[in-house]
Amino acid sequence: MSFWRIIKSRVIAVAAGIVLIFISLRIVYVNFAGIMRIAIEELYQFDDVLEKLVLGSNTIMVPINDLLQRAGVIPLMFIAFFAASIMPVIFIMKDYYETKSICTFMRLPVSKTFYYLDKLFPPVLLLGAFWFMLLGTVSAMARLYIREVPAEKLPPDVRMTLWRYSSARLLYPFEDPSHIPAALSLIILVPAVVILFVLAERSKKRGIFSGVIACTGVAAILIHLLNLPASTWVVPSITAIVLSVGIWHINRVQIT
Amino acid sequence: MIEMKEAQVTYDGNCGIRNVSLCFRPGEIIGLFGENGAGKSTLLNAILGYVSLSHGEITLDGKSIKRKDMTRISFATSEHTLFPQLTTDEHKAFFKSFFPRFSDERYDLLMKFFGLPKNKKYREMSTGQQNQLETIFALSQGAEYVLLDEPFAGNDIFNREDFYKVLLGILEPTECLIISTHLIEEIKNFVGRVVLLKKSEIVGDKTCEELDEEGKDLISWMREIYKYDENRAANVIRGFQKEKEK
Repeated sequence: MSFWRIIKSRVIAVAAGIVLIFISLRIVYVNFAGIMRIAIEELYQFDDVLEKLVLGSNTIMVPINDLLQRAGVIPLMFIAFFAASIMPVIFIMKDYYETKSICTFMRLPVSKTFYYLDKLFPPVLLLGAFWFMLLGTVSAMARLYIREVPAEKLPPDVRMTLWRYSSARLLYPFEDPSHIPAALSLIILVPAVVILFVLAERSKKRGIFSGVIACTGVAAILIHLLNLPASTWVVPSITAIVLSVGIWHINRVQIT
Repeated sequence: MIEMKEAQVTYDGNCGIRNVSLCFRPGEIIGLFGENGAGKSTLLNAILGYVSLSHGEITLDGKSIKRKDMTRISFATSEHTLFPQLTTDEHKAFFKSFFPRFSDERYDLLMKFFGLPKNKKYREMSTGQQNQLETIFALSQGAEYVLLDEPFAGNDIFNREDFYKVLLGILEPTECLIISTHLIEEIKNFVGRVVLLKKSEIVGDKTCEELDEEGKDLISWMREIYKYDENRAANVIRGFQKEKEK
C-alpha cells in the first residue's frame, strides 16, 4: 500500500501521458486525413466536355511523407520526447524540494540502483508506448492513403517512401534494419541522458565526469537525428555507457 | 562498533570534518556539540554515506559500511526527510518492509507519547510533529546505532524533557545513541559521553565519569575547551555605552 502511494505519482503521470499521446495521435490522424482529402480533390479538374470533375492528366498526388510532415508528426515526436524527458527531472527534484525524502531513499538497505530504475522506467515506458502508438497511427495513415488515393495517381512504393524518406525513419528504420537497435536505444537514451545531467548537477564538482558522459549522450542523439551511418553502433553503445554511468553515479557519487 | 579513522570530508575545497577519529560503541549515549558549521551534521552524514570521504575511513565492526548495514543504523533529522504524501501508518508499513527488526511496541509507545495522528499525511503535520515522527521511526527501526541530528527543533521544552525520560526507559543496553544538538543544558544529564567539535575538528571527547573524576561539569569543561570569554557580553555592553556617551 505504501509502495503504491510512493509510486502513484509516476503511474498517474505515465497513464496521463499515454492518454495524451492517444488524443494527440488521433488529432494528427484526423489532420492527415483532412490534408490528404484536400490533396486528392486537387487531383481533379473540371472537364468542359463531360461537364464533370475528372482526374487531371497533369496532376500528381502529394507524397505521403509530405502529408505526414504537414499533419504534425515531427512536432509531436519532439513534444513526446521532451515531455518524457521532463518527467524524471520533476520526480527527482520533488525528492529534494518538497521534502528531503532523497535522504530516506538513500539510506534504505537496498541497492540505490532501484532509485535510478524507479526514475528511468516511467519515461521509458511512456516513450515505448509512444513508439508503438505512433507506429500504429502511421501504418493506419499509410493504409488510408493507399485506399483513398485514386489508383492512377497513387505514387509507386508508398510504404517504401514512408519508411525510407519520411521523418518516421528516425524511429522506424524498417527499410534499413541495421538502424533499428539505434532507434530503439533512443527511447532509453533520451531519459537516461536527462537523469545523468540531473545527477551530475546534484553532485556539483563530483558530477563532472557524469556530465561529460551525458554530453556524449546528447552527441549520440544528434548523430541519430542526422541519420549518420555511425549511429548504428554509436547510439546503442553510448546508451549502454550512459546507463552504466548513471547506475555507477547513484551508487558511488554523493547526490544528497 | 562504528569507527571513524582520520575521516575527512571536503566541500568545494573547505573541510566539513578534518581528521576525525572516533569510536561509537554499543550502549553509549553520546552528545555531539559544536557551534553552527562545526561539522556535527557532516559527521553524521559521513557515517550514513550521504557525503563521501576525501580521506580516511568509516567502519562498522571493522568492515566498511554497506547498503545492508543500513538496517543497523537509523537516522532522524529536522530537515524533513520523510514522504509528504504518506500518512503515519503508511510510513510505518514502508519502514517495516525495509527494516525487519522494526519494533511495533516502541513505535506505538512513542506515537502515544507524542500524541501523533495515525492517518494524517506528513505534509499536513506541523514542523514539530514532522520532527517527532522522524525521531519515532529512527528509534523504532530496530537499529543498533541511532543518529539524531537536531531532532527536537520545533518542540517545546516539556516535550523534550519528557522525551529524554521516556528514552532512558526504553533504550536497550546495546543501543548506541548519538545526538547532535545545541540544547546542551537539556541533555547534559542524559548523555554518558560528550564529543566537542570546533571548526571541523574534534576538540574534546570525554565520558561523564572522566569529567566527574576531574571534578568538572560539562558546561565548565565546554567553556574551557571553547575558550569562552565570560566577559564577552559585558564588554559589548560597555563598548556600546561608551559610544552612547560620546
